[in-house]
Amino acid sequence: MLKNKAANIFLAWIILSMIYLAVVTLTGVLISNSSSKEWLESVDNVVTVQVSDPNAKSEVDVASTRLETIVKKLRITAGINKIEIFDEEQTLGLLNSWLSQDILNDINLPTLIEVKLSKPINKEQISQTIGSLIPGVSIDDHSRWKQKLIFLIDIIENLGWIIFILILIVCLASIIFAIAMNIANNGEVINLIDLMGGGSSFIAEIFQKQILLVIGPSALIGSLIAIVTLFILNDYLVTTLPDIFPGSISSLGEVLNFWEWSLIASTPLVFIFLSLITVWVSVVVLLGKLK
Amino acid sequence: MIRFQEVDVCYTPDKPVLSKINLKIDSDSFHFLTGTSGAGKSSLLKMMYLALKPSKGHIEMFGRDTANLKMFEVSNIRKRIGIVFQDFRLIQNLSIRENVALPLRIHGAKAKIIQRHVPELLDWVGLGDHLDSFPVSLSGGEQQRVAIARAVIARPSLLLADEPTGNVDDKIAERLMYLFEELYRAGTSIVVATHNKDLINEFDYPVFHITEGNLILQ
Repeated sequence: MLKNKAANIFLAWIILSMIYLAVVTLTGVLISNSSSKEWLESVDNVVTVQVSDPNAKSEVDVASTRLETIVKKLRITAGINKIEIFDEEQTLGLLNSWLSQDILNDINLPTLIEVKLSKPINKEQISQTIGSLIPGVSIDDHSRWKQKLIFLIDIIENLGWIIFILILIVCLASIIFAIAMNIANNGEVINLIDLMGGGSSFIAEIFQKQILLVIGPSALIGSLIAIVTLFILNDYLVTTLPDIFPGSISSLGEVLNFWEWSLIASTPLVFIFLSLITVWVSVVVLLGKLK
Repeated sequence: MIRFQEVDVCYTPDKPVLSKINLKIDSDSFHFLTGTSGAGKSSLLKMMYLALKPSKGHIEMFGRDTANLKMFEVSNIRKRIGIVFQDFRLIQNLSIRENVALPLRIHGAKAKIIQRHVPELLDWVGLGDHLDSFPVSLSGGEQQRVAIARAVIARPSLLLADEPTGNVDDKIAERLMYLFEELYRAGTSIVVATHNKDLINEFDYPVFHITEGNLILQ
């Protein structure tokens, strides 16, 4: 009934590309959230014990070295799941990226012990158990850099959400412009319907049906392409950067849970719903201004 | 049904097209509206279907003062009025069937009813073979008949027709007038603006004549 083929084609492409970006952004945010949460949980119950002069005689047990004394004590401490002693090569491997070989040659490297706890960390208790035993032993629960990392992850996630919302706002703004253009181009028909008693609601319904035919397929196709793109990207990263992105092609499917996938799948549907409300409100408001 | 009290219409200040119009149209009535071109017939009809507000005076439609109606109230009143426009105003990208069905859709009629009534009425006005044609493929007279079918399909309480027989031959004009009479007998009030004196003479109904901005009942 209402003619505006050119504007509708333009709108279809805008919505397709915007929903594509929205779904990619949303998936990125959810992956970041899910991965960081999982990773933080995995390091949450880990402390690193640094033992300087590990081979020196123990202050409390002359028959043992400082390292042996600490390991013995840790083994009998309740709540400890696993102890892993890093050898020199492993320790050097950790520091290689940060310090030059000359410096590494000059310093006495401490021995690092990674302690995995069965329950959330009680740093004070571990410190008391070990620190009081052997002087010069430090315990690091990584909270300092973890806090910074959490802050950084939060910023990235919030930025993702802001971009997602901005994309949706741009989509809805495009719809409002398309509606305004449609009203301008179909003034005679709208006026005729109005004179027949088809008020703003009836005209808004016509617009809703028309816009639904345009944005419905666009939003669904945009979402589908976005998900396919993410799987291809995932496959590419897993293949080319296996150290950073371990896993298989299905890992993207496993990173996100059912609810997160539902959220992604519902994005085009929520968008269509919001669009229909936007169409209704903008038609009623614009026609109200014309009268 | 319609009541005009001291109604003026001015398009330019102090030059009223219509002046101190007092008019009363009851339910179940049939009136002709005559006057020379530019006399104000279309303005009077526009006020009746609430497309034009009077510069002065009061208009009552279906017992409601039209001065401060809300948008949905205007729509509700218009739903009770069928309008035949002088320039037909058919929607070019809709088929004849869809054009005629539009008022029923506005009234929220079910598809089944639309499917039954529209072909029946188009058949009656002699366009039963043009259901799926588009307005552009019809002659002026045929388009006029589509416009009339569209105006009457929803059985309005009031039918306002602006030169409804202007583009049809005498035979069709007479047939259309019989259609209007049938609607009139069924309870629709009719106002037909026309120049056609033969028609006015043939059908004996009261005539409102506009001359020099004044309305006279003949």
